[in-house]
Amino acid sequence: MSGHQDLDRQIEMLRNCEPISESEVKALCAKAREILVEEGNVQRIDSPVTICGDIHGQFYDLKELFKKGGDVPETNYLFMGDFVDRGYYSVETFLLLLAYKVRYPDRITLIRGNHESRQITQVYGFYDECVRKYGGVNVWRYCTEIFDYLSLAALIDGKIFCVHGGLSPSIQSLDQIRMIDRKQEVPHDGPMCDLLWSDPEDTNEGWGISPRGAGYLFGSDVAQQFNDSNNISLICRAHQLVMEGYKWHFNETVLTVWSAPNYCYRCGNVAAILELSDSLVRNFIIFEAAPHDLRTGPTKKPQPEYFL
Amino acid sequence: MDHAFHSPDTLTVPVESKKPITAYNLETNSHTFGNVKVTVTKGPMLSSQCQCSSLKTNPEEIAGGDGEQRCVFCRYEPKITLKHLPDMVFVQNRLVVAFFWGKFGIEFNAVDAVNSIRDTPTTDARVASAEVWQAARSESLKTHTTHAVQYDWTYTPHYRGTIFGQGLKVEPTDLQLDMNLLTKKDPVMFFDELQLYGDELDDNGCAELEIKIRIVESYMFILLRFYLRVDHVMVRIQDTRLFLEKDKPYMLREFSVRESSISNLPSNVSPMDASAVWQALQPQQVVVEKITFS
Repeated sequence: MSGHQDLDRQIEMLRNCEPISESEVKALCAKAREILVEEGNVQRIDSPVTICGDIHGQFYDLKELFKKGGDVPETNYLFMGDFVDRGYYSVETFLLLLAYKVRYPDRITLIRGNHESRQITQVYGFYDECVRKYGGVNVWRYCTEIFDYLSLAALIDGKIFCVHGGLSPSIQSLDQIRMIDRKQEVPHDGPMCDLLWSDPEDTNEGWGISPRGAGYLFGSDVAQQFNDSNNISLICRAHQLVMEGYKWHFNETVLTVWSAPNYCYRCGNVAAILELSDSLVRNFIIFEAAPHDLRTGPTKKPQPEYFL
Repeated sequence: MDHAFHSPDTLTVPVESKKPITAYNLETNSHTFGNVKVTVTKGPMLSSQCQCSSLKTNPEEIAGGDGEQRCVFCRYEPKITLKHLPDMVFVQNRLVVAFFWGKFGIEFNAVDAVNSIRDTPTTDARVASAEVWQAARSESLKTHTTHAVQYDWTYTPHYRGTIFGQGLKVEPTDLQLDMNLLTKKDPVMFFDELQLYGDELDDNGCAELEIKIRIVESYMFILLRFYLRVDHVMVRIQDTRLFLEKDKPYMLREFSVRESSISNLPSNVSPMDASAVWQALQPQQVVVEKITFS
């Protein structure tokens, strides 16, 4: 398998948090596109699988995740988006996941988060990081083009629906998601936006609108109805920080999974991934941030400054 | 600088494997300046539910170090009166400025700061995508009954610190902070920073309340800054500065407000940089108080 030698070398580099060259990124993205274009908006996955939430460029914590959950391809993974932004290693994090996808397409599924977008990455770090590490915008451009090909959701054994944010009032059935033309920047309008941005609202029924003027909140009755009409037992999503790494909503019909420990290097939260056996038995794995001596990144110690 | 140490207060998280996970320790750091003892306490953000069960399975881990066997959530959550909390409330974080062995003083803590946020909005502004978002959903909004959720989503505090004990007198003054002194690069004897709360506005900006403290030979200086950034829309800065000069019998507390639309910011000022925004904007309001101690 000489074709894999190069890819295996790139994976090895990325595992050491060394970025690969710009031309390698270009080639990797081209190969990834061929694979992703064949995947459905609602990608079917067979158990056993391990479900992961937001990573946000916390590369050393992603390595911790693989240490706890097992390596690719031994463990079958689903990542529910938000690979990039906020952390210090969005480039290495996304490229490693993408390289795994190209090398082991049936052993890792990546679906899109609201941060996998041109607009959001220009504000929250990925764009700046690409420019800083590659001296130009090309790598950011290759990566954001690939974002457009990522699936919007996944369905495990026909029973567990996985999506980054949540539900949309314009979507009652999975077939309606399958009809979306996903190959575009995440729009502000339409159900594609809602799937990546919505949140469950624990205190109210029905549909709520965020006081910020954009964003749906969905109640327990909405989730129950969606699950009933699609013969689903659980909606699994990410998108919101949870101190304990995961959180149940609505009598265990909706689950939030969060996989970035000590988020933004200061929140002090633990992270979780959900291991599902071949009979969908659940096992949560909880993990903490990588020890400081493993990372070459920022430390917590504040540096004195002459603030005014 | 005093040596930082770990208190026995640890956070434990229940996992289905029954093995308690010890997360991040509470850290304290303190420094004495004349008659004043400054203590900084920092811990992780508030959990979403009670963690007592994991304390019970692990009795050697007693929360608080004060002998109280309740988890952090149970000790702090009942004190919080605000309904819609910011995503990250660093509920144990505080900076205490205690005079004369702790009899009285002023402190800045997360619980009082969060409780000062009001239920009603403090701005008419909406996030940048609001208009497009709502217009695109006009049909869907007609067919689905929706409810508008109302609270101050900017999490703007109405908080200038908490005075405790008997011994501090607060009064208006014409005195000003000595900015010349504050801009000098005197050797720093103590520095720390901590966050009281923060929210990402669901990826539409930030609302952060943070404290910085610097002690040099001749003064102690504290900045409590609230920074609100609504991407492409607006910024707001509310600062409380506390200034104590060596051998003076009073502190000065200055409160100021700055606010601007993003479009009115000078083009060379990044809204990501709160101190650049602060320098670029004229205050809309400044109030200075003299806090005298006996």
